[in-house]
Amino acid sequence: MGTKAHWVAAAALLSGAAFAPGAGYAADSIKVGLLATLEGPFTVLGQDGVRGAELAFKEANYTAGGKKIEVVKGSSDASPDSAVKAARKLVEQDGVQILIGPLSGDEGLAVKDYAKTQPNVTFINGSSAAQDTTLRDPAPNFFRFSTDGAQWMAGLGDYAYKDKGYKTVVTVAEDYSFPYTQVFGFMADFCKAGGHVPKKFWVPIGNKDFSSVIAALPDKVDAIYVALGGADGVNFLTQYQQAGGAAPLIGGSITADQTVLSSQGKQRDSVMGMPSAGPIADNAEGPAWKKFVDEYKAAFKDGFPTPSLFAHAYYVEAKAMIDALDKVGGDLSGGQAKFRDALAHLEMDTPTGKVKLDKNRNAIADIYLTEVAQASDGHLYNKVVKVIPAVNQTLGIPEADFMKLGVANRDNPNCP
Amino acid sequence: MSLAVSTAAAGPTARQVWGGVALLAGAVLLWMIFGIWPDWLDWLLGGKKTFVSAVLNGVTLAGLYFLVASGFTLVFGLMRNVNLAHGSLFLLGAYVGYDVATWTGWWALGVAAGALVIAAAGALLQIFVFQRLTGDELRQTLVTIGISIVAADLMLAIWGGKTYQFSIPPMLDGAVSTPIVTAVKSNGQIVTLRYPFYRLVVLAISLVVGAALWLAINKSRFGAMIRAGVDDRGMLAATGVNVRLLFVGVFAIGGFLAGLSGVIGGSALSVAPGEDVRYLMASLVVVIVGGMGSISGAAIGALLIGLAEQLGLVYFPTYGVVLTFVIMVVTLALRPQGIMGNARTRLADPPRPPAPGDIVRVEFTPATAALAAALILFPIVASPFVVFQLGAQTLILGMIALSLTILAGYGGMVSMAQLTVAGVAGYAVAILGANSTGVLGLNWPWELAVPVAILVAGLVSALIGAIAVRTAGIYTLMITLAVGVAFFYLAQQNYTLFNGHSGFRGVAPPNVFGVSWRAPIPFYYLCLAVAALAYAAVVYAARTPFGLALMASRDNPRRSRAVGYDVTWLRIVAFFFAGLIAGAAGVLYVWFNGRISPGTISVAESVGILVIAVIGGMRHPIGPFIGAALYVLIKTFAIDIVGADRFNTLIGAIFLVIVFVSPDGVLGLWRRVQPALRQKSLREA
Repeated sequence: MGTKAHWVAAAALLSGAAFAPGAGYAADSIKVGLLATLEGPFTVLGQDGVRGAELAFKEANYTAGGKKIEVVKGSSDASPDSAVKAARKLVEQDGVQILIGPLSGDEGLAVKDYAKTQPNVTFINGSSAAQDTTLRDPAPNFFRFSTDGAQWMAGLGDYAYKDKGYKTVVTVAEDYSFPYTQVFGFMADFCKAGGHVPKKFWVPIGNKDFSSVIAALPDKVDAIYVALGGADGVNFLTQYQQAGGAAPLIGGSITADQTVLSSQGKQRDSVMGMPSAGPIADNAEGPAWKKFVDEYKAAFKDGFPTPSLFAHAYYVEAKAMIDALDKVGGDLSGGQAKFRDALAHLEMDTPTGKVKLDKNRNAIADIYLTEVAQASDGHLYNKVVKVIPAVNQTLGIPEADFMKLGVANRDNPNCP
Repeated sequence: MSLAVSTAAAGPTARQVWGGVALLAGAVLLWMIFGIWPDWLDWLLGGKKTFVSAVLNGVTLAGLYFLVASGFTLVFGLMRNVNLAHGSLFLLGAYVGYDVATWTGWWALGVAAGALVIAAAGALLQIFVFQRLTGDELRQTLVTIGISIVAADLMLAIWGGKTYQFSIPPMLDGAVSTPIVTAVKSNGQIVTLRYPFYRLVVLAISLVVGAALWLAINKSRFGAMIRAGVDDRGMLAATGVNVRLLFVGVFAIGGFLAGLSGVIGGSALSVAPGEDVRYLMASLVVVIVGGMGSISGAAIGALLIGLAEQLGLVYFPTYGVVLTFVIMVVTLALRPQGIMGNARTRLADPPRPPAPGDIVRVEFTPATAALAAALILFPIVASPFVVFQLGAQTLILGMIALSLTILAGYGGMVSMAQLTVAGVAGYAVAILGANSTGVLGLNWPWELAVPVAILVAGLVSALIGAIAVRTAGIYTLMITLAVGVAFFYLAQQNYTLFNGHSGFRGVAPPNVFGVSWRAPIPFYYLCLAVAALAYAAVVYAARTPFGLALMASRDNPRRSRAVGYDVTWLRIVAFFFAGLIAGAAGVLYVWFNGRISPGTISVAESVGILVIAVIGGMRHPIGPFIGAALYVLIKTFAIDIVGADRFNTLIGAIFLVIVFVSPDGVLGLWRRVQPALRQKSLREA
């Protein structure tokens, strides 16, 4: 018995050696890895991200800098471990020279750490929006042409205090890094303008039952800032309306998305007029955005009604790569030095305005302040109220002061 | 004068005391709900509205949990079948109910459809799957795990990652005024509590269902037949009852309850992937606390857990989610059969003959040497990616699965907490050593941090064993799974020690003897050395008096005790030893990933370890490594073969096939094929 077992194992071992690394790339083509969440519950978002990147590739006819672009897809399930494993496979097994991705915030942090161990490969972000991916301990070969979760909230706190007149706000958000960043971004403005946040409600991840939290909300607040994602957002609104809640709401970037706006029922009333902010808006004025939406709809019959922020982010990142490659004529020699220099100094026009990078290779881009409005046919959409131009990672605050605010977590910032 | 000995009890019995306490608690609670509060109480509990809402939410949530758990405990109590696919049935019922309700426009039709479709599913499962495995509980449970993996992935493929929101009929929607006074305004006006009506509806439905179930089982002929069939199947069949049909009926009722609770629960809290695991874990905890197989136990357990969850959410939001598991552990420590459980149902200590899952004696032969040589020479023929990503990962996951296999094979205890134990060691290394997160990282030298981490893992494993060891068989599986989930939530919610959801990054092996052990080839050899050491230790331990005593206690605990062995102690030591192996693997794993977070030790990953152990074969210590190799291969290259998003269906299907066809995994398949080959050569000769 023992004998056979060991032979079986030895045989299994030899088969492993058969996996030689993928063939290298031809001299006139560039291998690009595309990493998105293509498994698990976030598959739909990952697929849209892939669509965004493919749209950019299609526009350029899969050519950049005179060379052909070869795309290899990698899949993760939104967990950092799987993202690193997928990145490793793309870089070490498939031999990609440039990697675009990942999708979610925690994955981005993990991929950045991996990027540091692979100095010969250039890593361009997908849509991951964690602050620390570029703000603290950045990797010299990691470039992010999309904005982070705190940048998305630029201007909202100010608008809530001055324009809407909300002086006291409580926050309800999930208890992990991305909502921390969003609340941070909101409160940085709001507290500076003079607002007060007497209590912050942090709900454990995956919690669907907000009724006790809703019952514990103080009665005397001007508004409630809700940074819950689409599905949890719907749950919260339903339970809020069922419990007879009356205070107006302020939304995080993913609260006022299509899931919430297209749901039926009385919770629509709670959402009307809800201000929010983010990197895109459904009805942004401006021909570039309209062109982008039309192209997306034409190219992808199986896509969303309008491109999501994931499609937009991946599109911008892929377009940045193509533009930089064009600038250097596809020259990736010398540790890709010329290419990375071109990326760092790139100033591009995107569907949502001008984008350029700061010294940490993070995007400085426009942010849209929106309010939920009703169209003539009755459906809800995010109407653009204001465009906040050229928001950088420190939200306009001097860098030293911004870093003094510390890392976003449960207790930081605080202005009770 | 006679000395009459009084036969009356001198004081109150234990039951009377507990009853009195419950009555007192109930009275206090009633006063708190209906009375006017003094100011200090208002300040202490954050307002009457908050408290009363939380209590009501807890009670109504308990109704929902009871509904879900009732099907689960019914099937176990009556048929000794731990159906870990119960969560999947719940979710499927919710999806089916949603589709029907949306298509027809009637919510009630959706409820009926969900319940009836799952009732049919339950019946089919019993007929085609569980009937064949009667008596082999572990295999039944493994099959349900496999079904849940495949079902979850298929449901994800069909209904996607979206969240579905039911449209409840307006009659049931909205808030109603209750007679509970929450405040008196300054102008004298009374403010009463407004409460969501639908939640009260859920409570009402669960009360009705609970009463109906209790009546059916205890007061009806059908119930009498079922109870008789559980006690003595043969006798019942002899009286002319169609026992098979009866049990199909029971499973159908269990399915009905699962589907019903799916639609009703989904209407309250929306439907999305992941709800299956959530409600399965809730059912598990409810029935462990309340007592397996008892309907009233499920009710009491649900009440405790529902209240704990909601009150925890309001008053201890950070750790409220761990509170329910703490209650479970305390119950297990004080009363392992659950509050209303029957001590008989613990199933501890039945004598049994050597089962297919038992480990065989390992011999060192030329084949072993050949394997060792192949392993050592492997990096020469394979690329660095293969050596690191496939080779090292296989060795690490194989070691964790080995710790599971030795507990199951030598000790007869299936522990789903081995990955958790490995995670404890990984976290310990990140906390005690260096990490780049800015949280902790005490910068101990690796010579100190690593052994301490492994030791801590061993101790934690022994602790888990101490909790689980008072039960046996399937109970151990469930309890270790629940403990694993508890630790997951603890790690996710605690930021001071575990850095919560983000975990720790930048954990790397040290530079020793001038070699960077992070490089692919040195790291592979490091893993190989540790795995070989673990393997040798296992083989050696199996031949020591300890190992033999452990195996004896597995086969016949009663006899072992009679001979003088402390079976409990043997088992705890076995857990400690397995914990050391898992701990060593955990240290390597955190170095391999360079990071650790709660996601590394989630339920899905723990189930993955079980899948690895079963696929490879549980009869030989090399089995887990073979299983790990297969798992890692398929996982890494799934995107090139079937498309990454159906990996789980593939691995779940393989797992199911193995459990059905060859309980001894891939090794067993090989052994089956062999005689055929041998005969052929004889014929040719």
